[in-house]
Amino acid sequence: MKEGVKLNNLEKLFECIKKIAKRNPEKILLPNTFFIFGSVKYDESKCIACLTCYENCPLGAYDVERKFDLSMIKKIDLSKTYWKRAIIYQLIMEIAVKDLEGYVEVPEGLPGYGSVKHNEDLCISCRKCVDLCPTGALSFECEFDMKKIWR
Amino acid sequence: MIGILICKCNGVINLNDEEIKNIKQSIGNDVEIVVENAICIRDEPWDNLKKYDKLIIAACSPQMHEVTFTNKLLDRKIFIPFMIVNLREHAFFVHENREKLIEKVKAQIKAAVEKMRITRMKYREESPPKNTNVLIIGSGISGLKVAECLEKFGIKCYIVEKSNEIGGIVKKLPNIYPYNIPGEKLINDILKRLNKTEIITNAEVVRVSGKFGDYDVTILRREDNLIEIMSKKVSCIVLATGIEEWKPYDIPYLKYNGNNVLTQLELSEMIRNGKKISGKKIFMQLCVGSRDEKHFSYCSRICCMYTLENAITLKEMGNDVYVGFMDIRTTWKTEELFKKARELGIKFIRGKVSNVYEVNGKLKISIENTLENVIEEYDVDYLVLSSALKAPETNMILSQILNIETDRYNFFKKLYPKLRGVETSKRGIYIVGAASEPKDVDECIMEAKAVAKKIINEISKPRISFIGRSKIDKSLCIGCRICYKLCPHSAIEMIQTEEGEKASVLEENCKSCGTCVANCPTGAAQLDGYSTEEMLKYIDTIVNSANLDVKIATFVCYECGYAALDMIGLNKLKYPEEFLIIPVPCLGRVGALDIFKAFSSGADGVLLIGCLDNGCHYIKGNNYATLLTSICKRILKEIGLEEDRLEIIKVVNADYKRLHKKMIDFYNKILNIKNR
Repeated sequence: MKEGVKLNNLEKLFECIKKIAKRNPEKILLPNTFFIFGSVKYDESKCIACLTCYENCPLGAYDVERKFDLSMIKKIDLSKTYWKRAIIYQLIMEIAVKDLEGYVEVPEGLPGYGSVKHNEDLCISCRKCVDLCPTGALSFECEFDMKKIWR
Repeated sequence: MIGILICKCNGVINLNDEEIKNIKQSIGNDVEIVVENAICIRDEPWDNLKKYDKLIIAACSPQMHEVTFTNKLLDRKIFIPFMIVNLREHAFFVHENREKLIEKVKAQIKAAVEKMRITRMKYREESPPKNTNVLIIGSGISGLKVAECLEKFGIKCYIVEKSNEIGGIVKKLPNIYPYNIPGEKLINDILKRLNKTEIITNAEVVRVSGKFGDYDVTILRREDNLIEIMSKKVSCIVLATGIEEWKPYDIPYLKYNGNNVLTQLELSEMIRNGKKISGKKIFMQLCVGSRDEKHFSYCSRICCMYTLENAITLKEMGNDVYVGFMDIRTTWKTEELFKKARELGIKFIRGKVSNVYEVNGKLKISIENTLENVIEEYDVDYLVLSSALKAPETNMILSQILNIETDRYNFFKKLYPKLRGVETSKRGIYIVGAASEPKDVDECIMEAKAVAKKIINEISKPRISFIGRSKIDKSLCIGCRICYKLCPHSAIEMIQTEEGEKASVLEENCKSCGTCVANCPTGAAQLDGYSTEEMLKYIDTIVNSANLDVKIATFVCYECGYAALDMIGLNKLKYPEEFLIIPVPCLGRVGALDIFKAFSSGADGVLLIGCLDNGCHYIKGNNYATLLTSICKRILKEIGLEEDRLEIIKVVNADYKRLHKKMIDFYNKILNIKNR
């Protein structure tokens, strides 16, 4: 977690829940979502690694993965990808002589390639990343991670 | 020292000496209890309060006497924070078991004391703005009347009118009920009385920035291809945008052309301009576009009246007049018009014109008479359509510029339909007259006076508050934007600082609902009097110190929820003592933390009582509470508690009997769970 972040209210809330709980479920499916409750889902195929989420997350719940998953290209629905990306992927698939698999290391300092890793334990579901994500790779779901409470 | 002033309320709150001793013992020796009678009408009890630095008034509902008590204190220059504990409506009127009642009273007073011990509430005075100028958008009867009223108090007004003519719809009307004054005379009379007011015609508001007391408005004025840009500084903005008549081109079979098939207001203008019409056959059709799901599903409310006025005028000029109607809605005294029209021999046909065609240059219409089930045909000279009244399209642009809401028909939304009909969600922006719905002339004039009074109140007096506005502790804020997204009054802005993005409160917009406080994950957002610490302390004390078998923490919003609970009290309906009352400004202030804190302190059930859906006095607070309740119910279930332990009840104060029934039901549910 980022330095200097104190989640006073959340910690108090978790304490209260811990105190009254008779069961300790890992995850809870909620009827709807609200800030704090819910979770962020990451769709790598839509991600363009612009790192907006990484730069803006107040908790530092995102890590940059300096890897580009080649096998992903096969799985992506090109009609739904940005056209320029679609052309690049198309070209890669055309010129490839062997099966696309494995990772490609991405050098630092060049956003646009690679992916991010979302750490659910730190996430407070403030949705800032979901709002800022330009491609819709991040979405908000009715699932509440309870592990962080029982810890 | 904390003082507790208990009012006997002429024997209603009849605590005996032993009980008071008992209460004092449970609270501690550092408080002083004074018992007096009828503190609302007597002065003596208030004279000896200077020695306390905090005060708890245990008496009746704050909805009844909060203003009285505040004034009593301020008159004596006692500027200490105080809190009212409602012992009358919420305890003595509604409970029967003396032992339990005293327990509840003890818990309520003790919780208040514990909260007051740590409170940061203090006396605050917000000084009124220096600039008192007012901008009025629209120069119809409402806008002009606001200017007239304000001018009497020396306030300068700017009126921005988008057309080149002053007076709006009223100016077009040849007769206005009941004295048959022409609208033009009404308008001109007001104009004669305006000396200081500056009216800018052919102009539009294009940009507004700033806040109450200090709005910066850019006005664009067009004249003969010349564009002039003006900038005005004002303290308040009044939306008097009024209504427009819909031109029924979208109903092609009516063949509207503005000549022999014309709208009612076009006819009014013809009459006003003195055009002599006689010996003609005229058919008037009501509800064109109004009450029509394809166009405007609402009733335009005032067309029946001016249609009948015109029908009578034309009949008296010697024409043959027919009126096609669905229903005649002449409310209250305007029924006279309908009676007069029938006496004069105007013929009323229930039905709608279904076809219009021309034969040899003559207009022919067919209409289904739905009372006699026959299709009737008429040769007429004029077909006059009382077309729907709609909100001007510019409302949409204005709502974006000002960041205030409109309803689905593009009319501006009142802050609260019943009690705050001229306010908007933003402080210093008011709606008047037909900008919120079609209104007749006297209603517009009345609202104009109401707005003028509101403005004078706001800009001439300091605003007194003990809880102040929300505050954000920058060192705790992590810039997650939750408060920014939730705030119903757009009172939070995100600012860039050296440590990244932080939230900041726009105090002028903040209405102290506490939504940001309830949902801040870090505790950076705080509202004095309802801060996290104060609320947790209050909840903990009230639940823990009541020696009752069952405990129900009851969060009540200070608007409809509290009022409905008061109504139960005033009607002396009984309910169990186990409901421990925790008042909040709005249910938006109740966060998951407060709900779970109540459970972890030992509450058996948690009940939220607030306003109806769409009836929240802080716009969205109870929506948030509803969402949160459904989530917390699920969490309760999954961690092994019964989800029935938590409930939200939404009421309107007049519906207190339903609330009472639901409270009893909830109590029985909790009892069942406990005895299982």
